[in-house]
Amino acid sequence: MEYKDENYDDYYYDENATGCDYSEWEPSYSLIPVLYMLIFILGLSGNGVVIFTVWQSKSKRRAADIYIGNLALADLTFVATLPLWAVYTALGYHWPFGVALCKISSYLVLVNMYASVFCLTCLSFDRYLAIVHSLSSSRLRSRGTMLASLLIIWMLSGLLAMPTLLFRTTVIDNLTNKTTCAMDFSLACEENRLCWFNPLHHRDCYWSVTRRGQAETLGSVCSLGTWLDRNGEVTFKLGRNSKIMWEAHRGIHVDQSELLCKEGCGYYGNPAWQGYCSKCWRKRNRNQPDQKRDTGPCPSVEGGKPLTFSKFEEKKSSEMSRRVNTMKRLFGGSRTPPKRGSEPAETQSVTSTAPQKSQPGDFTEFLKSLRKPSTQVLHRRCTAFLSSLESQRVTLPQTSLSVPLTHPTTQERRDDQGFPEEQSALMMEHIEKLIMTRLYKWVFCPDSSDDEHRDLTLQRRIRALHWVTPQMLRIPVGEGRSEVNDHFLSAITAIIGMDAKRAPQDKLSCVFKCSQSIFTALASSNPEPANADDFLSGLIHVVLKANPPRLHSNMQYIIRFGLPHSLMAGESGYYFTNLCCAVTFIEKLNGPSLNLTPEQFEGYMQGRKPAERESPVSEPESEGLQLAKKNRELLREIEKRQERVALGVREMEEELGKWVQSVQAQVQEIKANAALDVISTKS
Amino acid sequence: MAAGGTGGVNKTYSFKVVLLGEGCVGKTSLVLRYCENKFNDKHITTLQASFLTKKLNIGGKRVNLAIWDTAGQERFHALGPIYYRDSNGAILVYDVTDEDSFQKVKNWVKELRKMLGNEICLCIVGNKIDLEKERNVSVQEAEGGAKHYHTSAKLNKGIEELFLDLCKRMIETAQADERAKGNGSSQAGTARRGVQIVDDEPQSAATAGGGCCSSG
Repeated sequence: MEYKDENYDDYYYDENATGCDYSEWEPSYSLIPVLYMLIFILGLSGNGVVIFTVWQSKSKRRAADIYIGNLALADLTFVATLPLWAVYTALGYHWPFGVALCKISSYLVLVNMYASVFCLTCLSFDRYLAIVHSLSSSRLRSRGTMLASLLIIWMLSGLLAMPTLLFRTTVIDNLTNKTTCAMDFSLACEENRLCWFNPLHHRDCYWSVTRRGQAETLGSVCSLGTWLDRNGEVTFKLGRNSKIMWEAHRGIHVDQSELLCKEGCGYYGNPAWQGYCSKCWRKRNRNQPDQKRDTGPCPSVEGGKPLTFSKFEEKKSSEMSRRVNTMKRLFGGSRTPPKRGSEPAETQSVTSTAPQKSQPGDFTEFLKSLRKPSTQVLHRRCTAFLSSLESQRVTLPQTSLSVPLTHPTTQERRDDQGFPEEQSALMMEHIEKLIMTRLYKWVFCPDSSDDEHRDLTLQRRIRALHWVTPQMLRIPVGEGRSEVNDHFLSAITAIIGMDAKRAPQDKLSCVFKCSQSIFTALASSNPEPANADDFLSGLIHVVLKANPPRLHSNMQYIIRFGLPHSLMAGESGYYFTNLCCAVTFIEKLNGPSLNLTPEQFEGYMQGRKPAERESPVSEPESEGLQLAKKNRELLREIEKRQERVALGVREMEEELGKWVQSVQAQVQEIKANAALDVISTKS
Repeated sequence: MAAGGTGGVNKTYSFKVVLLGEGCVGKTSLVLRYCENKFNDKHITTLQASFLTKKLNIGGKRVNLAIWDTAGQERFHALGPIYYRDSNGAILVYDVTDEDSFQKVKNWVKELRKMLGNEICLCIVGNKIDLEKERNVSVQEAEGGAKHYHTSAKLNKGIEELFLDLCKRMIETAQADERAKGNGSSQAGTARRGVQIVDDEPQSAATAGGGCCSSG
């Protein structure tokens, strides 16, 4: 566009003498400068904002942002020359600023045009690569390439605009006595001036239209550029959205710049490290604990570990602060063993339940106490451990070894300080919870194991065994008692809820809850305490009915990352072992273990009901069938009653009819008598 | 009683003891008698008799005993290894009136020795000696293998002795373990820290049909 204008420029200059009518363009002398100045103001502020934004967001600058910034820069340089053009137009195309400014401002206009075009091209090419060849183009879209492309863009546009710098000059028009800033090709094309422009020669007046139109053209380009730049962020957000939608169709396509480290070091970042590369992430992490150490200096590493005492004051929150203080003093001073008087009744009870029922408040307390300066050492260890794990991107076997490895170190520290075992165990549980909650998404059902496959296999297996009844499992419960069913239901709910928990001990406590419900169910029909056989049968029943999601993965997770303390010894450990047993039993289930012949078992597995009359076990029918039968009987009874009611109604109708007739008869009789009376009195 | 030479007074041992044996031999009664001192009582407080704990003090050493009842019915036989993994002691119960149950115990002894070696302390217990008249397993025949005990949960005979003896042996084993490690500081009961990968495919023993009474 601009280039054509240049051509016409010369044409105009050349043919000026032939005379086009100028007068009709008179208003443009005042209108165009106003437009120019408007664009100048808008463009300056808009492009300025864009450049400023790009400059500010150093950390997450993408290639596209750089191009946008350069586009804005190009437009800004052009916009900066607009006042000169405004004055030029206002003065009726008279250039009062001298040759140098004429050359420079014309040059800048052209450079802007080329640079804009190239920047947009690069931008679209970059986007194209990011979307279509996101993975293969990573080398092509590196930082170096981008910088090189920028260099080429500016050099090329500077070079292409060179002719303007050479040929533009001020020419004094003798006719109007005005100095115009226009192309003078006399240097290049002296004798045959029209040699370049012959094809356009016949358009006599077209030049003037375009000459005046230049303002509009420039304006539109400029404003478009400005608009584009100002909305750069928005348009790119939109672009990204549509890109994401497109990605959903196309598969995995990740933006290169999103993969790179946020620090801008050129290496790849990782979402696990909040978008940093391993080096920058470690650098950041190292800085953070340092700050913490500065703000909260640990007065004594040895002293003050009030972490878990809150556990003991669950129900006595009013006394809490006093106690904690006492304990602090106890620990801060000497190494005397702490008072055991304040310990819970747990240790005294003979048949106690494991300390598995830890209240949620405990953990919160624990987290709070982690923030205290006295526990900074522990906190630092935890965070350091976590970050080191995260930075290494450990594979599964490594993790499963290294997680418990930290525990002994903590354990030793606790022992050094003469802490009672219960407390360190409790503390270990808290630490484990903290760490495992953080690590959950990496170590649960990891890709490197076949857990997922086995989950599905187990799930299918359980689904295939839907026909197994409590009677087959020989669960000693009374049939059809609602409270038994309720307890089993709550057991089912508990075991399904296991999947939603993150820390191993939370999952274990779900198993614990489930087991307790089973025991309650068993106890409600049998006064004797349940033995292992009853319990295991009940658990198998619950697992079959619940078909808990990702059961195998959950169990593997507990086995891999649960503390041996709670897993191997405690009551919940026992229940968990029973769960393992139940799952193994289900996996190996065959006819004899259900008191079925292999043929019957096969028949059940293939979904057809084997001859019910033969098998003694299949005599209890499914709940639905029983319900249907009951309903049918009820319906039959209702039908009978209805018939009886209908009969009664018919009888009643008849009686009513008779009554009405009798009444009518009576009335008529009385009427007849009365009429006689009336007649008699009248007469 | 041998006072703990190496271990401190505060040391607490945690032992896991599994009860193995066929159904109906009186495992549950045995453990209930030991932990609650009750037999066939309406006033038994616990809801369940499958996991019970007992705290002992033997010569200044505190012992936390976790007694795991196992499902003894024939159909659950293959699950044994899951139960007895990592246990310090095993009590193998048979019914003196039931020859079959004694055969089962013999099989158990073989299996445990094969799987766990000498790490585990075994006790063979002939229960129901109050039914001496109906005895089917002769004493001579019985006392061939591991350490043998005769108990009656009904009469509360021999049970305290059984568990006390077992605890002492387990403490000895644990101390030997410690010495072998040459590291006195690590705790015996929790010495087996680390990850235990569960073998979900326990070697299965061939199970034949034929049930037994369902509630013991």
